[in-house]
Amino acid sequence: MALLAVDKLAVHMPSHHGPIPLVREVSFSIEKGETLGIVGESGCGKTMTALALMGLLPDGAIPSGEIRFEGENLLAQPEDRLCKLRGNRLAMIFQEPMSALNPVHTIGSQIAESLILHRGLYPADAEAEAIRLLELVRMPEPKARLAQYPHQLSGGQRQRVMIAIALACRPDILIADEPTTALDVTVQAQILDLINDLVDELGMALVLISHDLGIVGDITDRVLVMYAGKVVEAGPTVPLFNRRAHPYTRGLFGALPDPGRARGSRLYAIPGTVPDPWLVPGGCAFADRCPLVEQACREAVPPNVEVGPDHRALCRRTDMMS
Amino acid sequence: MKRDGLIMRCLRQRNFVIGLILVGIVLAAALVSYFWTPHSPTRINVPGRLAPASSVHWFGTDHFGRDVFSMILVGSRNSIGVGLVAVTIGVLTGVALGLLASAKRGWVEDLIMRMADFTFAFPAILSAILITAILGPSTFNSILAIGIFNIPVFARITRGAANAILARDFILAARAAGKGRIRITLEHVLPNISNVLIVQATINFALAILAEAGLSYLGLGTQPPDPSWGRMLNESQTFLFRAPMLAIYPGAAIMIAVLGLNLLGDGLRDALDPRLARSR
Amino acid sequence: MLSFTLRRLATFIATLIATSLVVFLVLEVLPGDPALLMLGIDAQPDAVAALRAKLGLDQPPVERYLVWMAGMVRGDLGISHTYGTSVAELIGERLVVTLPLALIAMTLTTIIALTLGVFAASKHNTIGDYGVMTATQLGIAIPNFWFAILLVLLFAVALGWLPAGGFPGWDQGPIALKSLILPAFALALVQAAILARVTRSAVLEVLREDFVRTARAKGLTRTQTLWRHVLRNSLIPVVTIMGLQFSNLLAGTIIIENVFYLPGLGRLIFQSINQRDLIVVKDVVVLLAAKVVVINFIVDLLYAVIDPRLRTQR
Repeated sequence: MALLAVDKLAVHMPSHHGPIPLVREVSFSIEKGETLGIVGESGCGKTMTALALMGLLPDGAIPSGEIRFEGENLLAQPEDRLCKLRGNRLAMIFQEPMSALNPVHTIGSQIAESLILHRGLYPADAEAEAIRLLELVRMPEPKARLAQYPHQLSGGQRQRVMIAIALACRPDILIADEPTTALDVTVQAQILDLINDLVDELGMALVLISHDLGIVGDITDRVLVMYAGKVVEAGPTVPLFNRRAHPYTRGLFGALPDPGRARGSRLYAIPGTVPDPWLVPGGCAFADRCPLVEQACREAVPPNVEVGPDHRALCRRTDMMS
Repeated sequence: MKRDGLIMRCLRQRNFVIGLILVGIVLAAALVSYFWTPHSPTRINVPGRLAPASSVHWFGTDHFGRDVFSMILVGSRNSIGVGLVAVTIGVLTGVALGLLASAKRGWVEDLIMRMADFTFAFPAILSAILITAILGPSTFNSILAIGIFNIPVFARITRGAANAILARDFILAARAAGKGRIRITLEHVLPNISNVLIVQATINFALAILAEAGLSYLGLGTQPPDPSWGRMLNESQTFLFRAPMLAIYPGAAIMIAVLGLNLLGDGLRDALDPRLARSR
Repeated sequence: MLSFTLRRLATFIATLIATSLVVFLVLEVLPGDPALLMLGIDAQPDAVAALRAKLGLDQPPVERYLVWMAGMVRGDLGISHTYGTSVAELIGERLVVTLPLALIAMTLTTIIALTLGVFAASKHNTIGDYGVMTATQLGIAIPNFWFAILLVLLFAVALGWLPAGGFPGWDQGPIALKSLILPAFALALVQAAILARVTRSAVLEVLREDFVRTARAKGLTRTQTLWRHVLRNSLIPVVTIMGLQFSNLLAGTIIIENVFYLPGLGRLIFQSINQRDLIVVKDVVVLLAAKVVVINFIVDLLYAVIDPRLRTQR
């Protein structure tokens, strides 16, 4: 049994014009210790997928499908059961370390909180454990940090605190939503290394969400490429990066800044923009931006083609992409 | 086009419609009282005092045998009149000072704003009591006292809103076209801040009615024999055990007027500024 | 911290001087001879002259102001003309009633407002929220002295549970406390309605912050998140309004103490104004200004207690 198995997950947001699909038919599974990357442009449904896993969707959003954690369908669980899992078996770190920590509580109390909540530790023990956690995330002077407030730390240090909070109860799955996007480039690398090391060290499964292919390629075993709420390509990282079976994946790679390119020359970018979720065209959602588009792409939903071992792409023109 | 849109937007606000109805009732009472009241609100009839409600005296009679319903009707004139004039004093003076502050800047702005702060920091009702007590209790003096404390409110709001407008690009364009400060203020700033002022004036109208009621209650407002809601409440207190309803009608009348104006103001704000409405 | 305290002290003294000047000037400029006003129009000229001399009105204004200020520094607030006792004593006597009344009213306000505000925000856009919003809209529209009369009608006239007015003195213990209950509720109602609305919108604002999601991701329930993480972050605007309300509360007592015939500071101000006891009026007004400054200082201290980011900026 997979640690986490997501089957046909969808998220809809009700509106005056009927429900808007934010995530559609997303399926994947993760084994213990496995790392999964989810990539795509902003607005493709990556974050919504992550929030659905945590049961923390914004008010009003309606999930459907199944999210099985050790066989237990999380979408069917009552809120108090989810509260027992969150921060304990499933943990998440967010994009903005600046605003994701509570400005009026000390670092120590914010880390200790989940220890007291899930492990029933006494405050003194929780404090000692918080110091160990700060050491684990390689925070300089961990003891002195406990009494400090978030505004007294740098962005990278805050993200370390966020990681320490997430790891407090040694979760089985860590979900990291753009954990380095808001940080300086040098700090980004440190934080990524840290996450990578900790995943190895603690044997956690990792879901890493990013728009940055470089980051995902370095760390993950498998990758999902999402577009307009759907998974358009999924497969093991190395073959997927080599094959790039979906035109959108190609586009994302083209959009990578090329260090060899002369300064000032324009980057290749995918023409057009992600369609708004309520305007997603019938047929292939990517059709309007695809260089290989043909009439059939607009008329019918593209097939899910197996392009390699455990490697699939949602495109009728994968034959053109080798 | 824009005008139509605004009226429609207002009418879609539930607050606005309820407020409009309540304020309409009070206004209608005031208008009707000029042409007709069931009895003279000042006619004393001691043998028929403290009578309960009946088909002759709809709200009963007070301790002098006066018809309470007629007094409530005529009393509405007093509340509306004092509130309206006091707020007008506040708006005219306050807006002028606020515009002056934002057009002149420098020490003029500092002086005006410090004065506004000082007046503001002082409990308005205390100062109003001071003024009416020293100048003598009368309708005119209560208008003056309430009006004075509306000035800093409007001076502050005007200056804040005007400074925000003056920072916009189209002001730069107007200045580049060679328009003077006064002209820019009158042509561009004033029309652009009128929404804010209308909303605030509605809310302060309500506050002025409350203040007038308070002063009249203390005997510092409108003097007998002119009926006023606040004083009716004061007089009712002596007879709470014998005629409790006397304490109900004037208070309910004040509440309807104030509630109506507050709702009207809220509805107007939501209709005039959809951005604000959404964020609430 | 020291320079902060010194700056505060300077503001305090400056405010007191400014207020005393304004009060003095207003009473100076206003028409009418204070001695004549006090004694009435048909007073004997020599009685008026005697009173003028007693009040120091025959001295030039600058001198009178300085004498007043010098007395205030010594703690000598002068002798009330109508009561014939020292103003300091008089104020002390009245504060014993008004201060407990104000504190009880403020406590009630805080409890009612925070409960309603947090409840409405947590039930945003549901029946509960609409109910609180309607109730507070009504609360704002009701004059507090009318609410006071309604309370008397219900609890004193109809049910007979509480006294309709008057104050027996603290030596009567619980009965004295009982006679402050209705006035305190009357004062608290309007304030609580406004404060509940402020609390609600502040809580709603904080609920949109990222750290709320972090708290939920730790496994805290909605309620736990609300009390442990949201409330404290939404207290800054709430405390600001509470400060303003507490400043205005003593003014509110002018009317409410009249409704309940309480021998408090509010009634003292009102009676002194009516009886032209200008010595008392001047002193009490300066006292009220001092109180406003002290409350602002406390509010600033509370800011620092609530939000650590505001501690380092001194």
